[in-house]
Amino acid sequence: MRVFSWGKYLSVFLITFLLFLVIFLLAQRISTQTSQEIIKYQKEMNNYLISLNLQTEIVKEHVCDVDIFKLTQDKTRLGRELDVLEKNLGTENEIVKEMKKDYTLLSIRQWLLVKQFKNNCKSDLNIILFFYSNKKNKEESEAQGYVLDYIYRKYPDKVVIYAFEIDQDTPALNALKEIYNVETAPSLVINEKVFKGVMKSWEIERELIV
Amino acid sequence: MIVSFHNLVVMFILFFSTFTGVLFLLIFLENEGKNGKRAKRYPKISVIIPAYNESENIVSSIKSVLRVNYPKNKIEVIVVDDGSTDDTFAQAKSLQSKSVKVFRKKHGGKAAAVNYGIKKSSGEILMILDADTFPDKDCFKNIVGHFEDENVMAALPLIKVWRPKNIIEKCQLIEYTITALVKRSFTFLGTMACTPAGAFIRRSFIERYGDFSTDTLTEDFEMGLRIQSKGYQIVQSLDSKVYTVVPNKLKKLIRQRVRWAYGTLENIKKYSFLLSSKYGNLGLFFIPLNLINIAIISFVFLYYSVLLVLEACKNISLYSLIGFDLKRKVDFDLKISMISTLTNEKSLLMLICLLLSLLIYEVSRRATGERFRPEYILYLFIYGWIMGFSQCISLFYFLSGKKPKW
Repeated sequence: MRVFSWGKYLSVFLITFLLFLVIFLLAQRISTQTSQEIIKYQKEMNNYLISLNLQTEIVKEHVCDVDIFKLTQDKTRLGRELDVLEKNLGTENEIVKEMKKDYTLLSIRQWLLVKQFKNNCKSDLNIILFFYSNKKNKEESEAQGYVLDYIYRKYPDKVVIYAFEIDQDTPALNALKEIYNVETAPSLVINEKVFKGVMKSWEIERELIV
Repeated sequence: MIVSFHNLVVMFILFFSTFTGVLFLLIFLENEGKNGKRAKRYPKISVIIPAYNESENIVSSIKSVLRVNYPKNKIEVIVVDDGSTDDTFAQAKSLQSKSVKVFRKKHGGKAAAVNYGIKKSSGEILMILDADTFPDKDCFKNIVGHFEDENVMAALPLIKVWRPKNIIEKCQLIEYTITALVKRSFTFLGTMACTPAGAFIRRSFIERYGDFSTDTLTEDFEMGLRIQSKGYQIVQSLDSKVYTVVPNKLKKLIRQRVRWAYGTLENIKKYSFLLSSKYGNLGLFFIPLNLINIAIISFVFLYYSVLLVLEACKNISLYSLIGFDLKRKVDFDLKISMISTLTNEKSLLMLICLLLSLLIYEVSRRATGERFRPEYILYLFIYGWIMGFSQCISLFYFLSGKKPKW
């Protein structure tokens, strides 16, 4: 007699379903843990910056003693981890959005410090501001990000890059956009000169002091 | 996880693969060690060897049958030369004896040659043996026990690859090893529906329900479905073995697989009435599984081919922005990669699927006495593309109402 093994199929379906559920929960748990780690890390960075700012205020003449590259390396790493979270959780995720806002403020504060450092201590340091968008011209912004990643790896001790999402509505970022008259993405500010549209690596290199 | 078309596609494929993988594995393990009944008697076996331009293999094939460990008076070899243009007939004729009969007919295809051979034979059990397939010494003794069950109309020996040399042959060896587990699971579900190279079939079934069909590209699948549709069983044996020569070139392999996939589709169409709860696991699982498989494999192949081409174009355009100075882009950050994998459900599920497929390979390998082949990595990541391409071609032929010419 022909039978349809309902029990077998159903139990295997349940096993598969449970396996998927466990994986989803596991991934979410790791995601949450990673977010918490990043938040902790971000707080440490904030404290570090505040202390650096205080230090700078207290001993302005010793600003050149600040390990600026260690500081930017830590921030870059934080940015990469945030990128991964953004890719996995989506740009509209509340945790991601909140963290990106904090990250932007952190970047602006660091940028001010680095500018001060450049003016007072290391004149051949190149500062690049990168304005990108996840909404308009997303692909062009990604392409520009790819080129800047290349530039950062090629000149690790000559270039510091700060990336800002143009669509964020933060007073500090709005001020920055106004100063450089940036309205579209991708836009670059290389050593205070503004460039619009995607720039190739050699075009950026022409603007660098190396 | 972000809900998108791509993510839904990936999740469906992963779920489907895991479901079928777990199902086959559990059924196999649940029934491990269950062999056929011991043979109470040795029925006469007629080995039908259809041969078309097989001068290279025909002598070895006949000799391998004559060497099997089975009462000699119970074996009859019927060679049917299907109008070969080489010296197949002369080579076979050189071995003609009381137990080896050689016939020649006008070229008409494998099924017609087999049917011709069946008419000339007298055995109670018929073994349909391709000229490039050789039975193991204990093949006959170990398989006849299955026919003690009167409901069993066909029994299949384990197909092993004969001396695999290049990577294409080795990948097929891995495929055949894994397929053995799947076929064995089909047996326990009562849905095994094919009688491929080396199959043993009860003569009485053919006498009652007709010869092999000559209007299909896969007469063995048609016969399998016919046996199942009449309510009989086909069993897959693991201790009875045959060795077969497999395609050693990519083009030959693709041709073979296009033929198989097309034959599967045309026979499922012919036997579409089986798609019913009346036929239990066969109607509600085996037939739909075959159809879903062809659809999924073809879709995945097309979808990922398009994605791959788009990704390649995007990368080339990105590389051009940095003057193709790629060596500076090589960077591996373990922590970032770990976070990227562990926080992504898709990556974790893919990892689980990979482990599951490795487990299935390991269980099949042990059950069939094969050694582990490192080519498994290539089988996983490259062989699937070849199968996908073949499925797509056959689906294209089928939907356009044409028969594959190659």
